[in-house]
Amino acid sequence: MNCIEFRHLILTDPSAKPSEAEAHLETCAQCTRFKQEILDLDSDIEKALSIEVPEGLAARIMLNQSLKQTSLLQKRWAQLAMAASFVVAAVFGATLLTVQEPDAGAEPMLAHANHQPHEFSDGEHEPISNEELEVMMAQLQLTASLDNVVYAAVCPIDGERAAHLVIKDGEDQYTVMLVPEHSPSKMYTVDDKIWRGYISPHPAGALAVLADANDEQAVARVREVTDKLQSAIYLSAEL
Amino acid sequence: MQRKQAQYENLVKAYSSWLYRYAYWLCGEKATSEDLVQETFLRAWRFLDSLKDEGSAKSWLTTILRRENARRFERKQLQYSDVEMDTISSERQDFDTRPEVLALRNAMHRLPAKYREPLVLQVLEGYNLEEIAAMFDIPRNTVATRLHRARQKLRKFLEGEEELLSIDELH
Repeated sequence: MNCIEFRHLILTDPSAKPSEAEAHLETCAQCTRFKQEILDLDSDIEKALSIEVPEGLAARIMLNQSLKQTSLLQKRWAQLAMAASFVVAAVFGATLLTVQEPDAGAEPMLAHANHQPHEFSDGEHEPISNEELEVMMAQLQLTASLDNVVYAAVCPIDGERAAHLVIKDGEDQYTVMLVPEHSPSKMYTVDDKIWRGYISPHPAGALAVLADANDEQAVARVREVTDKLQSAIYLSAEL
Repeated sequence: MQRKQAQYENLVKAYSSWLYRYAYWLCGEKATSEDLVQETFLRAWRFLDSLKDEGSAKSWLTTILRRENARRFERKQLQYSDVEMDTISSERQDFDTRPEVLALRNAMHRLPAKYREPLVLQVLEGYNLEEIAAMFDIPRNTVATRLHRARQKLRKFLEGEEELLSIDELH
């Protein structure tokens, strides 16, 4: 190892001690001084970075989480109360009520799903290999534990690079999209002429799981499949 | 639920200080740093079930925080360099105020984010090159180059723009 290589190593990782570097140190006083300078610099950097953490930060985080939980529970109670009022309305012969959820970035996802390669509509495709899936998901810093993926691509959705999958679950087929930069605040339902399913928050972004609206069996299981996919797709750093 | 709550509290106690410091060196503002840490832990609570291995909790939380920070940038279109140095100065009372540390802190603020981030992870938390590469999804050699340049730039800054290495010194 010469001086240039040694100094590159030390500037990259001052704590590195490969045997070639140790051997070079024994013969070069200038590099010994250089290494000490960089170790001193790192020690000063550590002091400079060590800012004081505000008192009570951990307690405030836990309080905030607890308040959010309480507010979520209250919201759920309110939703239950609302659901109960719908039932009462139905008993009294009210007309069928359809709840339209607000947009959750659904439009670009549905538009993209509508352009899905037509051949995947027939449900006869062979699954791709795990390696293919791994390579594709890695482009988005994602990992997926999924079998029976018949289509996987990184696609532009709403100007972002997103995962677009078609998966089979038993007899049923689902279109799955994960848009990393979207962050819906809650789960939304999708219910249009072509697709039925959910767009839900995921650690990696917005997860859409859609079934063909005409496929009653797939539609009936779309929530179950959504729950499965929530824990089957991870940020790569989670592994 | 109790188990989840206990796991969550352990994570908060173990990593909130680290995340706050990291957030500060990402955004340069104390109030925003705390907001980022709060958002990170709220998101972590929602998706705690997806954390399969507690050993990777720190990287998982750090990745969530980086994403939260990226979202903040998208929302506000705020560039780091837009942060006034006066704002930074006014927050210095909590810091080690020795001149050499202040100069270095000032230099850290001036360092472009792509050099500052891996340096913070390596010096403050001892992440190795492979771990940083995985977190940023960039090749290991790119991390090595950025760390090399980060230290070079800091030295140049502290030495008043002098060249770091003199070719004559090398053999």
